[in-house]
Amino acid sequence: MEENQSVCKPKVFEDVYNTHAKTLHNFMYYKCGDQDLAEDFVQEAYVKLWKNCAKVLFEKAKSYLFTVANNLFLNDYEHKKVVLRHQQEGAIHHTNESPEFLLEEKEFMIKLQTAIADLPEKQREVFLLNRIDKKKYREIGELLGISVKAVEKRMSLALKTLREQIGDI
Amino acid sequence: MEKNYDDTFLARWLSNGLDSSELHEFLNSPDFEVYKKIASSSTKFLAPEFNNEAVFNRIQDKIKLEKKARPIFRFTGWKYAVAASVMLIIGLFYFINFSEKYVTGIGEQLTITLPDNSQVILNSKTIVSYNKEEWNKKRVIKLKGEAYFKVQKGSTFKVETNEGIVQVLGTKFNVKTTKNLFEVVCFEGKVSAESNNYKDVLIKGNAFRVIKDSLPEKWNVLQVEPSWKKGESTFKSIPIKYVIKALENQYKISFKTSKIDLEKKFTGSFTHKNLKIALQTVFVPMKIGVTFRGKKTVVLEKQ
Repeated sequence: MEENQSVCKPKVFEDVYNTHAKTLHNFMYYKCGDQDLAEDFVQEAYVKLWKNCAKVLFEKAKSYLFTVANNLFLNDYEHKKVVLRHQQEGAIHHTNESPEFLLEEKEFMIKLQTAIADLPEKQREVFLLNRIDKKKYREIGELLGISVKAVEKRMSLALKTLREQIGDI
Repeated sequence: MEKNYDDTFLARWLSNGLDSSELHEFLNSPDFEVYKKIASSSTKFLAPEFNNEAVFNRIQDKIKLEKKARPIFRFTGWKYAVAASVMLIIGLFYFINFSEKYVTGIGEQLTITLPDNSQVILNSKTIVSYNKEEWNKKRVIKLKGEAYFKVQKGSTFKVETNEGIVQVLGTKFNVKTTKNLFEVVCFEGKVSAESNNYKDVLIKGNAFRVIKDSLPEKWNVLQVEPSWKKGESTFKSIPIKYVIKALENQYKISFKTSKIDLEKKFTGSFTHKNLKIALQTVFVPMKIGVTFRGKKTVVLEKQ
């Protein structure tokens, strides 16, 4: 990456947007469970980044965005339940499974979704960033400004909580 | 069901961070299947669709409304050097440039003494400047406005104005310039005045005037000093617009002149001490009506 990348350059700004906006959006959604709000946070964070583009180094843009969005979230939000969509598995899985199995599977997903929605926010964001957005613990740590160890603890706690909520299968 | 895993155990399992004995134990534990299912099923979830472009466009719209922040000028070594040099050069010019400058405002007068004891008395709204260091070599002074000079005998004394040049050896004279007007009155000795290719030599009591695009005029005065030094401006058959300009220089007022003939000649004087009387002495004989609009604006109208 060039050393002199300034976020003030529209091209660079657009790159920063395309690289991080989706993750930032998902992250904010895992926190607040409100898609409109999550989009607003993303928008606000990027506008703020643009306003301060002269002060924020290119390399720091990502953590700046996440910090700003997180602060906005702390300032004003109302919790909503996180609602996650199922992946459309479509034609890949030919239904050679029995209807009972499919039903059970569906029930499990609903149970799991509810359990995730009930997770404490800090566990949920770590868990979903890892599971859905496939972020490594190190990356999550960078985004949240916490250590890898802390991420691992939250992750483990999340798994444990989910397992307790779901019970045996 | 509960096993005492350490507090990062499950996370490490997901990131393949368990060693083989830990893993082996975990694989055989009754919890394993449930964890495995949670871990694999949870990857099948999706976050709500993110409207990448729509949000980006909204950001762009919002940014356009905001004032754009400007990038900081990042100073690196050589830029510091350049900046320092520029400052140094500016500083040097400041000290090397020995030009002296004097300015008077509306209604002000100022007497200055030049290095050779010559005197310059500035009338209102006037700027003079000269080079202190070179004064002994050449006596040159720049003038904009009106000033009375009492020049000590010596080398040529030169007054440069935008409208013309006056050269003398040693004498007393008054130079008056406004835009397109150049007027010199000699009170003592001999002066040479030049403007717009018209050149004349004046002796005591001579007055000389050049108004752009018209022939030079010459007449005699009886005073021994310019009247403005005693708080009066005197004019001899001069277009009224120059009198109005002189009034504006003396008093903090401005005139609306669209309804009068600016070229009409005026002879007479006005005082610097009382605006009302000044206006009367100028405009009553000229048959021009004077109406105040507010405190600072005077509307002139033909009667």
